[in-house]
Amino acid sequence: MNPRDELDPVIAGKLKVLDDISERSSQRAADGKAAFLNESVMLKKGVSPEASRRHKNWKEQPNSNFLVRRKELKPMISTVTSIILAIALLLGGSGVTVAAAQASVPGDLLYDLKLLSEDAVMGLTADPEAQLDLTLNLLDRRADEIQTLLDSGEVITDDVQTQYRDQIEEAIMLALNLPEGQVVQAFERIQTRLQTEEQIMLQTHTNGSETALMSLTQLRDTIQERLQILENGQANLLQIQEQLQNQEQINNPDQKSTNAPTDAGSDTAPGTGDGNPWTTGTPTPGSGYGSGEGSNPWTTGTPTPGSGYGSGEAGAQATDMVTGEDTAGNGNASIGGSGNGGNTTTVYYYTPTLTRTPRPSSSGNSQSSGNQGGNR
Amino acid sequence: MTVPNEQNLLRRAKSFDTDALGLIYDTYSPALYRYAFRLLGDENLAEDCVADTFSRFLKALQSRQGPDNFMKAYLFRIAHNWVTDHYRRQAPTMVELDESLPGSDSEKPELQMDDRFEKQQVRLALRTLTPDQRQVLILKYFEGWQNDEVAAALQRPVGAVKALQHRALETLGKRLVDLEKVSQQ
Repeated sequence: MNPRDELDPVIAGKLKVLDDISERSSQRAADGKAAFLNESVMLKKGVSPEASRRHKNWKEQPNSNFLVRRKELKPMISTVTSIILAIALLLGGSGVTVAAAQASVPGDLLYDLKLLSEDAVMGLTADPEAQLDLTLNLLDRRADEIQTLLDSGEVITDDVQTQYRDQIEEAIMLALNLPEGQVVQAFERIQTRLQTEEQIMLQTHTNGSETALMSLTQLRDTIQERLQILENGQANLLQIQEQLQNQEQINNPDQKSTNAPTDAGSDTAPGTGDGNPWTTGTPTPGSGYGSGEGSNPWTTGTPTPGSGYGSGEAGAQATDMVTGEDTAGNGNASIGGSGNGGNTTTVYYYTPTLTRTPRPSSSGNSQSSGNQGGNR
Repeated sequence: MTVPNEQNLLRRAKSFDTDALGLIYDTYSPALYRYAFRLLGDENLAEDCVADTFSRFLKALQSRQGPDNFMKAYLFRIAHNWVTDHYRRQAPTMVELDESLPGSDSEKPELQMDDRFEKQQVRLALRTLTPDQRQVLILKYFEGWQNDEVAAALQRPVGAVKALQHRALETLGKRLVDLEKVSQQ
């Protein structure tokens, strides 16, 4: 008896349409079988010696037996060990110097060494969760350094603020790279740290100078902005990634974009690039996002309505914002109008979002990054 | 189809005996192809599914995690997982007009389009079922498997298979009606 006889005739009739199977190509079937048998031959051979013969610090000799088998005299130096040795040599071979550098604060001679050692440790940390832990600890370090500077009556330079902000953003980026189920939890951890640091800064006393007070206010603003972003980001993780990418591109336009404008004046014209290959969705009216001619390779997802980022058509809109007119009525349309006339430095004024800049040298000048002045 | 002395065949396959593996391929690949084609509606995808199924089978044998019995059920379970993964990765595609449709009088392009559309609808309805429900329907009503064989493929008790079958048919009926309504709008 055909099992379908017991079925509802309508369903049986519908299922019947799938009985018609195109005949399998005999050539492809033969090819498939040949590939299968070839693979079986390869697997049968194996690619490595059986476990008992693998290298485990024992030296295999052609005529070895239990008595003559001996442990290798010089175990293989691992890559990690090599890196550690290289760093130690680069630093003059003195671990003491590195240890001494850990107590330094921005402006000290050894501060660059401290940052270098942090980078080295981070470079040797492969596990994403461990990287996040480390970054959060470094975030605490940056906050402690700021406290130390303020306690000693010194001014918080732009570089120091940038470092602090970068550390937060690095933590957020690492959190975003964690497995999906852990992202929200990681965000909460970052939020907790930031809230604690905000509280500490609220209780911090400066030397009373206007500059110091301004620095402290800016730091608090930075924390509050990031807290807000984290809060929003939990509701929309995708959005936060886009913001980071967009902001990174703004901060480092030369690194990736060959379409970066060389003349701010060219912003007045809509982009004339090859189109925006990354945004294929339907533009939202008034959002400044559209499929214009500009090329914005830095947007990987669907733009948020009202965010104003997108491709070419919004170029003119960006110009309006630069001139303060903000025709679309949304101040955060910072990246709209990319393409050839797109990402400009002037639109930073409207971007209170995440920024990423190269870690500045403490011994360098305290020149503010492009967005630094703009955000404030 | 069952292979005589399947356990002996499996034992030889585990030692990568080429003749045994060839026999396994010849025995099961046509049914696996049909199975994949029914659900995917594409020859290339069906071939990919068959190739991956046998490749995974070999790797399982190599790591000594292959089946000790019910080889057919084991292979169909791999293919079933492959199709399920494919569904997750790939959004359903719409029926597209194909200029290569043959234009003979007996099979006019518009009739072929209707046929394709109807098949697509059934595949879509099957796709809305849970993977296990879909597996039960395909194995039972297309491949003609008995409940105990289906139970072996799903690694579920026979009673659970019957319950799955009942729910699958109920859901499929509703989905087909829904799709019919949508297509008439």
